[in-house]
Amino acid sequence: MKINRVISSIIEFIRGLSVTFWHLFVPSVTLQYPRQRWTVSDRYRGLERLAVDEEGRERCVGCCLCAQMCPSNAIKIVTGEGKDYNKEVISFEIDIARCLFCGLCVEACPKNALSMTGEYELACYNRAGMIYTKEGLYKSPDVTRYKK
Amino acid sequence: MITLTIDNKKVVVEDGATILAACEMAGSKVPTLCHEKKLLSFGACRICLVEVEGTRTKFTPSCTTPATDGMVVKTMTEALIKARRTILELLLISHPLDCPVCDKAGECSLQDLVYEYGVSGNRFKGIKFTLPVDHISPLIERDLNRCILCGKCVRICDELQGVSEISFVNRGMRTKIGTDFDRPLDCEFCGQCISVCPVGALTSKLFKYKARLWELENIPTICPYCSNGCTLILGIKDNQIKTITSHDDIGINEGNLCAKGRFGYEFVANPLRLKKPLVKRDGKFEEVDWDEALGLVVTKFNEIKTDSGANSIGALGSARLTNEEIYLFQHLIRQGLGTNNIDHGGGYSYQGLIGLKESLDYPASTNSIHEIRETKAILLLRADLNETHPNIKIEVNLAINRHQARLIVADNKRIKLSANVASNLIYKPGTELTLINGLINLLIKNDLINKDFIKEKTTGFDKLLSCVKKYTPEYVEGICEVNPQDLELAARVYAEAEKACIIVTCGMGLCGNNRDIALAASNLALLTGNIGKESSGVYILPEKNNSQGALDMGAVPGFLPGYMPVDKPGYSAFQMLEAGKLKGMFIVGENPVMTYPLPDVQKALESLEFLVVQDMFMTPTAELADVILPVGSFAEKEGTYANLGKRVQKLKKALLCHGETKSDLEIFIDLCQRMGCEITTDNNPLTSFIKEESNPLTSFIKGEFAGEDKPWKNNNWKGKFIPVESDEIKTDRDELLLVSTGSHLYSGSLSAWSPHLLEVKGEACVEVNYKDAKKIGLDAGDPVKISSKNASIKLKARLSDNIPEGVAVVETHPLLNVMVLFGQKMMPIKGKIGKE
Ligand code: SF4
Ligand code: SF4
Ligand code: SF4
Ligand code: SF4
Ligand code: SF4
Ligand code: FES
Repeated sequence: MKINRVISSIIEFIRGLSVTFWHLFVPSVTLQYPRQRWTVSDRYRGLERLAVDEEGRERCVGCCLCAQMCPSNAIKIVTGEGKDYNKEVISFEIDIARCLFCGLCVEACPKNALSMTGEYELACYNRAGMIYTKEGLYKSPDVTRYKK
Repeated sequence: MITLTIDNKKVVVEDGATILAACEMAGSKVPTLCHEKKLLSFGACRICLVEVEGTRTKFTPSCTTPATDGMVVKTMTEALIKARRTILELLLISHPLDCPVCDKAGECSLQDLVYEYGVSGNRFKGIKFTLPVDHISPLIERDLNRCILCGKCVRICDELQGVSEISFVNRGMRTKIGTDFDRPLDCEFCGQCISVCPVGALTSKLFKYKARLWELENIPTICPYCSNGCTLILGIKDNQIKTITSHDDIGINEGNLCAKGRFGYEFVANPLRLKKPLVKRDGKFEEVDWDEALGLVVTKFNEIKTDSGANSIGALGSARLTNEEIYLFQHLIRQGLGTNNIDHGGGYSYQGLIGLKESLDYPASTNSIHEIRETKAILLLRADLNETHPNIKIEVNLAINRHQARLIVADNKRIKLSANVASNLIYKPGTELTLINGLINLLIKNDLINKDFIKEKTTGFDKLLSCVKKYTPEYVEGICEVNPQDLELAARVYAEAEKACIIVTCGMGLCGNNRDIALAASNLALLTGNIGKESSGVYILPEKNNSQGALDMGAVPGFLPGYMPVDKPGYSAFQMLEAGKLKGMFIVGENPVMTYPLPDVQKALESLEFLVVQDMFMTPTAELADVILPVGSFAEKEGTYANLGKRVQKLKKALLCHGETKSDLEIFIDLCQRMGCEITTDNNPLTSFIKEESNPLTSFIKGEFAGEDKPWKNNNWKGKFIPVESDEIKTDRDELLLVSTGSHLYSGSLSAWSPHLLEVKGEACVEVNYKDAKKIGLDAGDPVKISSKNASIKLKARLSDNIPEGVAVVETHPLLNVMVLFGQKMMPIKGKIGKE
């Protein structure tokens, strides 16, 4: 009995080695981050951004539907009366630490103002840095997914 | 009773009910846009179509069609859905569809219906409205592009408010809701039109773009302004009141609010509110912590008490505190300091209620508010309800418009309600008692009195008889300047109605004869047997939200809580403010420097050794204090207010404390403990001591007086006739009779700190007749100097037809003390007006 068990463990060992050996000839998938960067798919859901229209005006009208939709309560919007009695978005904040990148806010936006980018490098040194304000959101990189 | 079938369900409804009401009973939801329960049916929108079997027309509007016996109704068929969808599409042709920025989104009936009926495109094409948006009117913004012409705003303004400020203008496609000549709104700014508008055409400027409706937490609480006790629904977001709304089914106001209730909440978030206790050192206020401030209060008061005796300390409370707070405050003063020197409201704002107690043994309005609408005759005695109690005015309008009640207005000027009266008695200011005695004389002469009632239920009729003998119509005409025919008509209208009520307002700033007027009114009611009946009686409308409670809880020198007698009455408010009488004072929530008719209040307060003021703001009175204790507003505390029908209603805490403020109750509890006077409470003194069964107060704080609690339900009860008379005031040719109006819509201690309300109120004014103005050479808006024997002040002139010749009406204003003109008695006074 004992000898049988020794033989079978040796066989398993060789089988394991053969898998390792085989992988020497398969192309690697590990990226050498940060020296190498990943090109994300068009449908990737990274950091949100706010868009301006053709004339450079903010598209967001402060309807707060995105904030209402967000399942993790990550969006905070303060609005008020601005110039010419129009609605003005006084502040727009997304707390990335809470965001789960579900994209529901983008779905909700009636003005095509909010979209998701391919930006995934979101680490920072403190929690405050996780809160993206209006300025940051209007500056964030080009969209990867932009519904028209 | 009518039986009909709705969606295969049998329901029984009352005669005259509409199909819509029946559908509601059957639980079938029928969409509506122009229907409003509290208004008459209109039938403008046609969205409430239903199918009725066996009728010639295909569809029937349910909100205007009465139900008939045996009707078979269907509320949701394919054809109906298609028809309703078409109606919505038609409405959307010219609608701007700017829901993302519309402040009504989320509670908009049109939005809800469009979503429910799945209208995603529009088969019709047409132009969108491009009407200019009204940004100029104060408080209310009108974007008529969103209007669906349901007419609710027009109807509520007309039927309930009686203002008729807005109406349909133009015809056909160009119909819109507007004012005459498209001027900005100049009305009561009650905002009732906003509350019924199903879409975002009428919105509140205070709420404009502040938040979205679905983000708000809605907390019902009680209005801090007048004694009607309306329920406000605070819309809270981020610990701030964003808006105030109402609900038709919550509270006694049935969803109606006035300008103060709806728009007067800005004082809560006013940046000038005090945040920390202040102590004056070397003439300057320094912020200290609570322990130090309260410690100082106790040591100082104890010092004064040992040095000069407890009677050299006095206290002024306020009718704006909750019942619990007032109870504890008088407990603190009576037990802790050991004096009966406690008063509020200048010592006479509550005298009207005391008058009723003397004659009817019941210190409150005899009937409940909603009974007014079913009465048959109303006598408004010195009651300019539009200004003082706007929601009681709604009851009066309902009585006139829906129940054919006849109205008699007795006032010293033409008031807004004078427009649809049976008899208008404009008397010379200050002669109310003569007028009522004249009415009584006429009733007796014409045998219009209820003899059985007088014999069985009253005492003192003989005294009254001999007193009113000389008040013949001619004599009354000589004094009151009231036409005998009008008087006769008024006597008939009042006495011949099967149920009739008298409404009197009282409070600071009105003529000081509150008690006598109440007695006169109750004489009149007793004479005609109008006490102890439904929809009749005497309504004494006090001024502030808890005026009733302040008296019930004994914040007066002459009574303990529950009207228990006191051994030795303390000083009244006016006596306390005589210079040199007191050494220390504790003033809570009142501002005597600005509101009392005494010229020397400031000097008296300055002469005190120690003054504590407890307030939300740095008022002129607070500036004289040694210690200022900052307190929380109505939205930051719990407790109860008693309204003028003696209904005790609960406040709800909606906001966190402002800065380091405490509620008045917490301060009183702390002070009671420091002074070592016992509080008989359960474990949680903040809310429960008033519920305690053993407490003698329970009988009148158990909510609105149950029917059997009213004294006249008792067979032995007898009402007392107490005759009252007054002296005549004579004016010379070149003099005017000055009279004050009482609290105007926006003149109060709270609205002063609400900027949008002040915007409506504008500057302090004195109103005079055109003819008098011509004599003096005044133009509208001229600055004038008014002087009486007591003082002289500067105001702006306003000219008006509503004021009789020879009279000048001085409006109260939050930023100016006009009461000083009148002196302690607060009666109309001779004075001069000159151009500045
Ligand atoms: S992506 Fe999802 S979780 Fe993130 S902000 Fe939008 S709705 Fe919220
Ligand atoms: S949903 Fe779009 S328009 Fe509305 S607040 Fe969010 S980003 Fe702005
Ligand atoms: S605010 Fe009141 S008075 Fe003015 S238009 Fe609206 S309903 Fe009428
Ligand atoms: S403004 Fe509002 S309430 Fe008035 S008619 Fe238009 S939709 Fe109706
Ligand atoms: S009527 Fe009186 S209680 Fe009602 S909202 Fe107006 S001020 Fe407040
Ligand atoms: S709700 Fe019936 S016609 Fe408008």
